[in-house]
Amino acid sequence: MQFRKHKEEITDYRDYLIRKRLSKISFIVFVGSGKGGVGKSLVAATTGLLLSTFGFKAGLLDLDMHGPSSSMILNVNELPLEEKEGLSPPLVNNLKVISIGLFVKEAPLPLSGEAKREALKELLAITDFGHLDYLIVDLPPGTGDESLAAINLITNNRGVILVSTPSLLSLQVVRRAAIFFKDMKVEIIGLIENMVVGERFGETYKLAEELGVPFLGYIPYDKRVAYISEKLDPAELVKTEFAGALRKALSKAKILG
Amino acid sequence: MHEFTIAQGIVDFLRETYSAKGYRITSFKIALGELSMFDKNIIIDLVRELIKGTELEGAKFTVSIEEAAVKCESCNQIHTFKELTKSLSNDEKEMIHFIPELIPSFARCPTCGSRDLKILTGRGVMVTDIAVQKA
Repeated sequence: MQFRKHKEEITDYRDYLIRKRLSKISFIVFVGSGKGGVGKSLVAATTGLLLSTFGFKAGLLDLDMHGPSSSMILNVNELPLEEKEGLSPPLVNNLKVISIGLFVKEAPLPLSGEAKREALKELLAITDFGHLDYLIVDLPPGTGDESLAAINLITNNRGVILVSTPSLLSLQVVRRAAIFFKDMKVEIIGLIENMVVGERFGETYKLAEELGVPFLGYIPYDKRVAYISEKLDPAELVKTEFAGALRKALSKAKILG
Repeated sequence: MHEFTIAQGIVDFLRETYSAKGYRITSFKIALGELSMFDKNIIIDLVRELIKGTELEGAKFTVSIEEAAVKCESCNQIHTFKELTKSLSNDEKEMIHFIPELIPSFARCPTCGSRDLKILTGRGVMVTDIAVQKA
């Protein structure tokens, strides 16, 4: 929606509505990686679940426009409810979940760069999360349109958790993502090394040192969640070894007490 | 249908952007993109109701529908709303109503079948021609 003032100046009405909605959210945590397949969506979804389990008012926004998976991980299928103030996201253990995937189900999502930005803007403008302590934003891999749009729309009270794996390839891509977020003035809350098998640790902690940001910890490869928790109940997900390690990482980040 | 959210947003935006800064709005126009499928009469009624008792009371406004034009980037044909949506279910149309960019998830180019569709006009809601006076 746009406003044209005196037939010249155009202001997008949705920017106003988004600002108003975001002003009710105390802190926004982006979860990014730079690389796909590192378990980022699982980290984002489980972070949201842990927060709601421990009594925080939390929401989860899945911004992966091509492979929305947070809603699948959490077994959410319901459409948001239309209420007076906007669309009310479905709840999973009190976590408010919104994803483009809820609208398209299994249909393809052939969105160009500009369409992705517009879709994100529309989604943020019409979704009413209400008052939240935390909104977790599951970013897509890379630093493309969705990430740029999210950073430009969500400008205050924000930080990013970057997820890597022990692989050198993953580390290199996360380094690039970290530089991007620093340049975009997004606080790096910390780095997590996911999918650690036994004692085969990677060098994510060294990258954190080099960047001067906290290393939040290792998360072990957990068979129970590795085959994606389509059938894993959210209440069970928060009890896994994966969730236990993530909980420690979130405590170190002072997100969970 | 989220007409109330939109109507409330328009009124709040106008009040905070203009009225709160000492301007009196005398008229404005609302253009509803055809793809967003808003009910024009509901928007008229809601805006009329919402401006009552506010600084906007008395401002004249019109609501019109902006026709949709969607270009297929594969064959360059430009299609109308009717052409693209005639075979869609009401549920599919509702998703486009929420987020017009989702049209290629549900519709394909009637000429070549491609899903590489670009919205040229008629996507969302615009407020134009806002005439103001210093209060």
